[in-house]
Amino acid sequence: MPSQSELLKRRRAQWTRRTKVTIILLVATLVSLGVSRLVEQNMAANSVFAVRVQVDEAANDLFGESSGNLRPIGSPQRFVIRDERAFLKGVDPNGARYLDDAYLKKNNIYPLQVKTVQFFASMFRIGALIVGALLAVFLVYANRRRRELLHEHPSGEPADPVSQNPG
Amino acid sequence: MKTRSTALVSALASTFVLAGAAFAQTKTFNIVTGDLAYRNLATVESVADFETFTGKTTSISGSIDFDPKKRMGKGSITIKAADVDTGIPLRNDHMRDAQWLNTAKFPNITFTTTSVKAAANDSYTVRGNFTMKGVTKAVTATVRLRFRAKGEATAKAGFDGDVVQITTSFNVNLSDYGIKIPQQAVGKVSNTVKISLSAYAVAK
Repeated sequence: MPSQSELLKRRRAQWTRRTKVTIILLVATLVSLGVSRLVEQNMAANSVFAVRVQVDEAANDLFGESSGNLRPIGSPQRFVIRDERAFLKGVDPNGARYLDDAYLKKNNIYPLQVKTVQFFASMFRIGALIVGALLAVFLVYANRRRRELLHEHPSGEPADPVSQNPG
Repeated sequence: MKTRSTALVSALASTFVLAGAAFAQTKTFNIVTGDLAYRNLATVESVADFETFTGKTTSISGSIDFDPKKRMGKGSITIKAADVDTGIPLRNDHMRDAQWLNTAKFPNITFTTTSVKAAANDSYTVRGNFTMKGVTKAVTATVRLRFRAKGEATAKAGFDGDVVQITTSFNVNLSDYGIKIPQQAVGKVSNTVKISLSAYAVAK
């Protein structure tokens, strides 16, 4: 059976380990917050304001070239898409590039929307902030517990502060 | 006297002929289907916080009675609800569920005009009844209707007869049609959706 002194030593080591792990997790949480922001910014920077369109060949034949033979599928928005072949020539009155729906379908491309990335990033950050706050609270508690154990005498009495701090 | 009666008969006959000719201007245009169905497009767009998605289909049918000279008409258009493709098979399945469109019980989404008023250029202000999931509500929309008489252009485009192209879009609230967005879909699907239509119809 381990002695009181041995048990105290183990408990001290246990709380020291918990404190270290909490610090590592807290740092990782803070880093992930920054990384999520960077990823979001990078995706937004590489996104394209575009509108999915379908080519309406009949419109040209029936009503002439100027009639506009591109039918929008939904409203313009920012897409994360790097395949230049997916774009048709020109822009719509909102300045949105034309994204060829037939090409997307043929190549099984479902372009990611920037707002989806932003939504996920926001959710992640909220979650990370909550986890970070919980970790910070636990760190304060763990650190306090570790210090208490450092000052505790094997008999259970608090250690003599003079002997703990000889200087 | 005889000459006067002949003139009267002639005038009456002319009136009837003119009236008949005017009546004959109204033609029934049927929305193209089958091999030409790909020329049509109906979309429904949901703009939510999480994403914007657009469901689309070419399964459109119906007819329009239209007089190109008087710029008057009426019509009814049907969209096959189960054929709306949102781009994700699982989402399509959900959309067909009883909670959403319940396409097993209500296979069609329809719009039937109640009044048509010609506006500028090719535009018309159209009032009509929009029916979705068995609920009918009055809707007003601006419709662009372009007419092309049978000829080289219509033949080149692959149509046999006079052609009209109808384009319109309007917003509807899903809640007005008995569709309540479930908690797990809040932020992913908007209550207000934009319905757009572009369709060709032919009169032979």
